[in-house]
Amino acid sequence: MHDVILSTVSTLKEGLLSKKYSSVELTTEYLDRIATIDTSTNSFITVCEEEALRQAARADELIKQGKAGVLTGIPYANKDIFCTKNIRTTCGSKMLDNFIAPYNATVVEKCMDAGMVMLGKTNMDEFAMGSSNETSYYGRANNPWDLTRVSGGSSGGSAAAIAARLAPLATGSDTGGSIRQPSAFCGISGLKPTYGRVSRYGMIAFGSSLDQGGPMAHCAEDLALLLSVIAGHDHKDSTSNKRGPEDFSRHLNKSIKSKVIGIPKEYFSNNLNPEIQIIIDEAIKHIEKLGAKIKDVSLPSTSLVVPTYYVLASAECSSNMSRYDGVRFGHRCEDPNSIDDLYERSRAEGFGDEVKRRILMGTYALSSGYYAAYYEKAQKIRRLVKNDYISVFKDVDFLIGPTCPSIAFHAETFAHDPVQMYLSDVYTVSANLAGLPSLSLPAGFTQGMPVGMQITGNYFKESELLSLGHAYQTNTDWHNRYTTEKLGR
Amino acid sequence: MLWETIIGLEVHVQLATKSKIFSGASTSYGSSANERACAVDLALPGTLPVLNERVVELAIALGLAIDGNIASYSTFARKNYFYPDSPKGYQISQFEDPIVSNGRLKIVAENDLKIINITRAHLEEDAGKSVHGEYTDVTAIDFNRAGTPLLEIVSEPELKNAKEAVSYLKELYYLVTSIGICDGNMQEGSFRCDANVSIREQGAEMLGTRTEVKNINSFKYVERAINFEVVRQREILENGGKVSQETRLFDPEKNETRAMRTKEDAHDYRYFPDPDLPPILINEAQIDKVRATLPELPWDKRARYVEEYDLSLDEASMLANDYSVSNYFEKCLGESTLSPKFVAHWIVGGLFSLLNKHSTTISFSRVSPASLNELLGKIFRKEISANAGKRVLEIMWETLNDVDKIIDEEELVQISDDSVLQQSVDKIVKDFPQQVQEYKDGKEKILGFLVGQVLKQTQGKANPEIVKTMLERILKA
Amino acid sequence: MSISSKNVEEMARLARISINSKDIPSYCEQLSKILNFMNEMQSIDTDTIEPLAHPIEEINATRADVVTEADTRQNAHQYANHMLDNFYTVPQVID
Repeated sequence: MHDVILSTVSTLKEGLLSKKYSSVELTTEYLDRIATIDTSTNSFITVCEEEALRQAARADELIKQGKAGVLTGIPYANKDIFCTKNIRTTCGSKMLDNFIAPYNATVVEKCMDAGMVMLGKTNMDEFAMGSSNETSYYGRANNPWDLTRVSGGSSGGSAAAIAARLAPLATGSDTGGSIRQPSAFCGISGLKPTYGRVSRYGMIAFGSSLDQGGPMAHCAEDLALLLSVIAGHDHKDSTSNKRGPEDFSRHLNKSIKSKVIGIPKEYFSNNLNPEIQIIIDEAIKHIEKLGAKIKDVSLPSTSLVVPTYYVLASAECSSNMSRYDGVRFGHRCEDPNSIDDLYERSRAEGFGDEVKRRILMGTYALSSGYYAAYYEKAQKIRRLVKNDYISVFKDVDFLIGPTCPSIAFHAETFAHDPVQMYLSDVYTVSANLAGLPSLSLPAGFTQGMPVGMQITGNYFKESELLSLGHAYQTNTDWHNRYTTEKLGR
Repeated sequence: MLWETIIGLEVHVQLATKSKIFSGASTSYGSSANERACAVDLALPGTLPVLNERVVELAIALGLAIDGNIASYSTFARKNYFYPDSPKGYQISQFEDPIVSNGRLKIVAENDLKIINITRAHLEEDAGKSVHGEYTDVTAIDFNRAGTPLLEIVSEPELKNAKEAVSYLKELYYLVTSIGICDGNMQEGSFRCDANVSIREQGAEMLGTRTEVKNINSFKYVERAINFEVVRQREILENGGKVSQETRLFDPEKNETRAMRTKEDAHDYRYFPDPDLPPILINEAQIDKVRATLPELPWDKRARYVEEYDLSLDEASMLANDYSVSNYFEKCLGESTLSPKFVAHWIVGGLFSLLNKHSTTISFSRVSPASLNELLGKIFRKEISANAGKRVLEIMWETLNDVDKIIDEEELVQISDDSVLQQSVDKIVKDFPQQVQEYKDGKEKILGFLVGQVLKQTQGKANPEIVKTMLERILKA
Repeated sequence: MSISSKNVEEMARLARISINSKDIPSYCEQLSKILNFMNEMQSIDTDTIEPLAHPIEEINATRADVVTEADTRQNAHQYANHMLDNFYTVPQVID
């Protein structure tokens, strides 16, 4: 049974259909692993044993009746940012420690309808704000490749769970790199879809014009399977694109010959870690060998994307966080003596430091006298970023670069320097600013830690992105590696 | 020192939709607390707004009616502030690209027509309701109202006194109720007014500091609140003081305005475009569609009643301004051949007194247009006298019985039979020789007294015109 | 450019988060660093550029005017704080 956990989802699927094992057995295997291993990785906030086994039994019934869908019976985990009906949804925060959601996020609803089996809710940076999973109220998620290092964030729990083989699939969310960066740090594959591809209904908002939910898994092939389930128009989300569900696996094996890959020169400046540079260069050469053409391009706005992103994300979050006021749900302070006392203490107690910093900065960026210099300025630069991409995509199909400037850092490295941590998002935030789909794939190792390659595509070209990723992964095996770190008790 | 007053009005009109502006919860009034507040209205984590297409149509209707500019591109913005009845900690409103701008409304000011410009009308959501004082030490909050669609209509500061303000409000009220975008129920908060009031020396260029009196939901209170403010500000300025820019509330019991105790944070609402809502795009076809279904506007209806039906402006106003009255009136006209003037007279004179007496409105009239028509027909054909008619109308209201039954039971059939009348007339001439002599001596007015006596004697059933003719014949002989 | 303690207090007030006076200096320091970092945006001229509010300009997402939510109180007990007779409650607010 142990080998099962090293398989891709297609293999698991075959196993279920050919009755090699049942969904209940498969689910039990993962639940046992979580029970033994997750003490060291801390990738789950809530494990739903009973509910998972119930869902697995139901899936087995469907499989028996021949009514199984593509992912029926496959276990997966949901980032704790997605509301799950009757199940605690904390968003990694003390503020929602007691919040039992009365509805499912659309993403969760779709996975349920597909007969998937939810193992539990994964750990994350508080309210998705962070790049290391260290701001979680529930403690940090540790990198399975080296438990003294961070798993990345904010979808650190989902990334660690997949890397440690505690779940074959997981959902994540990406506002400035929160799927791609932990995927790179943990040696797995993760996709941020085009803005509007996946419904945001029930996905707790951080930076509404930047947030996007997406799949995390070992390989592009598995990402395509999960994306096919969760993508598609949702009338409950006004920013949801009108495109209906698609089969993203259909063109997975399409050849990448004659595809043009752009290499932004700004991504390969002197500041890039030379070991990472080598790995990415190798990966690009590999893709060239598969038939793609390589071209040098420029994204001039790159030097400004990080401050621009942080202004917009903070501003939107400062407003999105206002509903957490202790009045209707969530943490409420003891014995408030006035309405302002209720607000001020509930919020001071319920929010962690990073969330508070961003709320204050966001409030500043929107306040009268500063709006033009900060919020509006950032929106203008945002248009420049989008224009850069539109221009570049006239000549190329994809852009490739490193996902992160470094490997997963040790815990507490940026404890006193939030700005330094922000700077590590330099390669990922642009795709959120422009709304483009972007994929991170394992591309190698240095110092024993995974290194991720980021591939960004044009609007709504997830199929093409995944087929490029699949082509690369058919010819490499970085995505199949498993940690030698001793996990669990 | 001569002062002039400057008033600008912001009216919040609740739009008459079935569901809320951004969620599918019901907008109906009067359910138990929090029964109609869904997850979106409560701002539960992860919930998102979706725009109700009907509110766009209703806003376009208002825009057309006030001859305003309808935006082809309109955006929503977040207005950020903390208050317990505002669940998200921000209100979804409009800031930079309101759906309607540059309209106008004609009002009557000192017997002249005056145009008041309307700066803009924009869409926003209503907040919940706070209940103070019901429970010890706590404020209770009901979010049923949260998310109800509002259209905020902002006038230019061109109103010069309380009377003009009320005139403007009434005209706006008639408009929004006539075109069906608002149910007009002021007690339920469907039409609320904020008044911005300032004063300055006559001839001065700069505007004085203004105060805002919020959430007034009756015309009477608006008038009182403005008058109070003007006096209060004048007294401050005449004593060398400064008027503070502040938000005030009107206390109808004390008949005064007072400053709100919670200071809004220097109005820093930190507006920014709402990332959850894409812009609304409106094209000509959509506007034409709404234009085609726009009912007759109250001022056009008033003019038509005066022209076509030969009514006085007063009567026309009483019938045209309230759409439920005009519906009733036109139904009467549509189902009979009686002269509109006649029908108008009886509605304004007869039915309205009954409505007042029973403190109700025409929508709850216990006399339907069909029944009224029946009664009016009999009066017109002189089957009963006008006085009897008034009686019958009252009894119709009370008993809901039909006209014939009532006339029968009350024996109100007008006596027009000459022989019967002649007997009464002869009797009265015999019984009142002094008055008869006074008439013969030239006091013609005494005829009225004699007619009255005949009516008295016949319990009001005698046809007064025939009686008058008969008496004149005898007395002049 | 830096953030003063007055700025921090004002922002904390607007955002309704209470901050211990002893923590204010560290907030000033950290927020000033963040502000300096954000100020890098000023290095580019954007006078002629239109702001971009939505990354993908989707238009006209509306719903029909129908009631789709029934009595919504059913699940309130799962998450609601401090309800009294179906009202949410807060300390007395005086207007």
